[in-house]
Amino acid sequence: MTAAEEYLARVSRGLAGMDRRVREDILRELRAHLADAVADGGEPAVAARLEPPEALAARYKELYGYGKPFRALFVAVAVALAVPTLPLLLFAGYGSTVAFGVALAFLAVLAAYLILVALKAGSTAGLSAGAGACVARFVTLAAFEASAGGIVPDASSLILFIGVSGVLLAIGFLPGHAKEKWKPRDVSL
Amino acid sequence: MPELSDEWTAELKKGSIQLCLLALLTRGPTYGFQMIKELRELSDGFFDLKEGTLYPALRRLEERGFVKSEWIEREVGVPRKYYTLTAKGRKALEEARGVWGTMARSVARVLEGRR
Repeated sequence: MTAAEEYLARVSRGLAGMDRRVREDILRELRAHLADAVADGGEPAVAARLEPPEALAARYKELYGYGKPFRALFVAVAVALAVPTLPLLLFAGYGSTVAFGVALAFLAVLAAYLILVALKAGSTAGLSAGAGACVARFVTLAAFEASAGGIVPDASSLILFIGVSGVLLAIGFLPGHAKEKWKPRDVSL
Repeated sequence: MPELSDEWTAELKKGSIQLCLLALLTRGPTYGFQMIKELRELSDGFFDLKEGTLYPALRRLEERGFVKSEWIEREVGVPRKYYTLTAKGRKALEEARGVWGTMARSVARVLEGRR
């Protein structure tokens, strides 16, 4: 593997998760650039000028974000984690301690997951995952109310439900937003 | 040029880079590597863009409709992506030229402390 190919392979790894066509286009353009640069100044001169491939990939990623399949996956995982954040075990005859304990554990996992998505993929991806989780919780609640013989949650449970949903949305949005706001300035110019 | 800090210099340069790229493209369609070279020569080395700055900047301009790009196959060597100024880009450049002129004069007056 030549140095240029190795460089491109590292950029490619940094672009993982992006839309495939955009990613290929970026790599193709960089390949042409490196070929021109090497023809012009020789490989050592080019190598001395190149930025770290990870930094380069990060700048593209900031521009394009993750591709659709990945964004869909982020939401799907949030949805899957959101359903058991409701004390569903109550309906299976478990006591409320166990049911709420399990729900709380899933809530903690979901919150950690949303923070991770927001930090890794940005506030928009985090917010969509958070919104997906809220919708899933709402649908689950509605479904159980309908199927479990009309057990209607009391007012305080509903307030708790809405409050937790709001917090989930905030958790999806804020970490990514804060990171975007306070990230160190680009000094590549 | 004495460099107080990279960040400070980069901040000062940043605003003008898109304008310079559009201006370069008025000479006709060209590709990234050539643009870096021309910009370096025309600016006497002041603008020495890295690929990680140039290509994302070109893509931003393309998303705004100011430039369009096209892959050109060559008989020898890998294909190159050529960028062309669009009518919208030409308009944007004219507008930016006006703003730049006013800004340069205004900043000069402030720096000299004239009224």
